Amino acid sequence: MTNLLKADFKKVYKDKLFMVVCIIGLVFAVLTPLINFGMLKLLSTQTDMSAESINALTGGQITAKYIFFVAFSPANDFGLIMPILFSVILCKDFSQGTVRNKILSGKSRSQIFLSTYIVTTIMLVSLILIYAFMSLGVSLILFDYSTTPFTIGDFWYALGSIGLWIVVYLAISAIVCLIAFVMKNVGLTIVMVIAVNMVLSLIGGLLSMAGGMLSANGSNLADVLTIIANAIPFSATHGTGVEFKLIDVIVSLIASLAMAVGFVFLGMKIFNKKDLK
Amino acid sequence: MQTVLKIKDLTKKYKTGYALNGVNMTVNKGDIYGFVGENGSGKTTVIRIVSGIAFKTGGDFELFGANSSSKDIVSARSKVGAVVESPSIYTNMTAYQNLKMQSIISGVNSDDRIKEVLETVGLGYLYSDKKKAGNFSLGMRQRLGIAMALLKEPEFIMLDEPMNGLDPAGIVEVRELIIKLNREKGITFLISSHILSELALVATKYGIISKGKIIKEITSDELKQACRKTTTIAVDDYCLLEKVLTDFIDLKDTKMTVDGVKIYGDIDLNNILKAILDAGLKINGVVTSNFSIEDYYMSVVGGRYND
Repeated sequence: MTNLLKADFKKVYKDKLFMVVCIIGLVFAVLTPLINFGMLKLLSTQTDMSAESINALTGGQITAKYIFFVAFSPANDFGLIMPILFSVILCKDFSQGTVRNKILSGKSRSQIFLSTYIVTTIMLVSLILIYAFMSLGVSLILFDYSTTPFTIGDFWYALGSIGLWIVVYLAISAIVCLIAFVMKNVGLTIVMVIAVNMVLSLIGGLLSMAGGMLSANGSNLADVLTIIANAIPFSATHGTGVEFKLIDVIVSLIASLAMAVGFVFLGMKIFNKKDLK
Repeated sequence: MQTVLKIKDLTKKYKTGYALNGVNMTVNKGDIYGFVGENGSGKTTVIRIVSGIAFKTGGDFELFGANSSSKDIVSARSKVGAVVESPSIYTNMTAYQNLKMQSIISGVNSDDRIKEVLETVGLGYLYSDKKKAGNFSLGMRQRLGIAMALLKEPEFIMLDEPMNGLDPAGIVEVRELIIKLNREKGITFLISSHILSELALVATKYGIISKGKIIKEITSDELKQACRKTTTIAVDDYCLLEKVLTDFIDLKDTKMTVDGVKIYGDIDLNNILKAILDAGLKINGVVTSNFSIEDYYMSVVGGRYND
C-alpha cells in the first residue's frame, strides 16, 4: 500500500495538469480578492448605494475573513474547477492502461482504489488550504481582516471550520474517485463530475434559498430544507460560513462522512467487479 | 515438472456471446508457450483474465498453485509480468521515469535494476534520455513494456502479440530477447500471436485456440515432426526396401504406413529410386509432400488434421 501511495503521489506530481491546477489556484487566489475589491470600489464610487445596501447585495460585508472562508467552498471558482481537473488526472491511469501495472504488481483492486482516494483527498485538501491562505494573504492587503479585530476565538473557529471543510472534501474526493473509476474515460468523467457538481450545487442553492424564504414566513419546513442543503457536499451554502450554526456543522459532518465512506465502499465494490480495458 | 499456469474449462461471456468457451491449457515451468489463434479467437481474453484485468465467467485456473478464486491469486500475480495488447506506459514520462514508477509500485526501487533491464531490452541508451515515452516508436514502446514487465524479475511473462508493429529487425531482437531470458534466467513465457510461423522460431509448446476453445496443444518437436517434408514410397517387398534405404538414410526417420514407407526430411530421391530399381524392386508409387507450419495450422483450425 505504501508503494502504491508513493507511486500515486509521484504520478500526480509529474502530471502537467497538476501544474495547471496549481497555476489556476494561484490566479484565482489573486483575482478573486481583486475582483471583489474592484466591484466594491465601483459600487461605492459610481453609484449612490449606501454601505448597507452594498453589503445586502454582496451577502455580507466583504472582508479578508469572509473571502478566506468562501475560498473553501466547492461551489465557487477554484473549489469547483479543482475536482474536475483532478478527475482527468485520475482517469489517465485507465486511458494509458497503467492501472494494469498495479494489478500485475500484486496489488488488489481495493488497494488501488483506496490509494487513489487517499492521494486525491490529500491533494485536494492541501491545494484548497494553500489557495484559501493565499486568498487571505491577498485580501488582507485590500480589505480589513474583519468587522471586529482578530481574537483567539477566531483562531479556534478557523481551525474548526477547516476541520469541517476537510471532512466535506473527503466526500467530494470519494465522489470524484467513484466517477473516475466507474467511467474510466476522460471525456465521460469530466462530463459526469461537472454534471454532479452543478446539479448538487444547484439543488443545494435552491433548497437554501427556499429555506430562507420559508424561514421569513415562519414555516418549520425551512429548517428541514436548510439541513438537506447543508448535507450536500457541493452545496453553495457551505461557502458562506463566516459563522456556522452547530446544527449545520453536525449535519455537514455526518452527511459528508457518510458519503465519503459510502462512496469509497461503492467505488471499491464496482471496481472489484468490472473488467478493465 | 512444475506447473506455472493450469487453466480448466475457462469461460468468458459477454452480452454478445462467449469469448471463451471452456479453455483448457497448461503452461509448465521453462516453457515458451506459443498461443496461436485467429483474431478474436480468445487469446487476449485468456491473458487478460490470468493477469487480473478481466474476470472469468466460469471455470478455473491456477497460477503458481494459487487458485483463481482464492485470495492468494493477488500475490501470485506479483511473480508475473505482462504486456497486454499495447504496453502500459506513462506517455508524459521518460523511459527511466516509467521504470522508476513501476519500481516504486513493485517495491524494487533500484536504479541499477532499471539500468539493467533497459540494457537487457536494448534501450540502455535511454537511461538518461529526456525523450518522453509518448514520442517513442512502437518498437521502443514494446521494448519498454517488456522492460517494465522484467523489472521485478518475474518467473512468468505473458506477451500479447509482442511482434505487432515491429520492423523485421525489431522482431528478430524481441525473439532473441525472449530466447535469452528463457535460457539464461529460466523465465517461462506465454506469447500470443495469430501467426504460427512467427512463434515457430521461439516456442517450445503451442496451444491453438479457435472460437474460444483450445483445439490442439502440441510440443515444438511434435510440430516439427508434423511439418517435415515427407516422401512415401510404395514397393512390392518392404524387407528388401529396408536394406536399400540403410545405405542412404537413418531408418529412425522412416515410418511404415498403409500407403508405404514414409521417409521424413530431405533425401536424395533420384539415387534412392535408382538403387530400389537396381535391387529389382517394383515401385508402386512415390508421393512427396511438404507440409508447412501454415498448412498444419490451417488443417488444425479447419478440423482436417488427423494425427
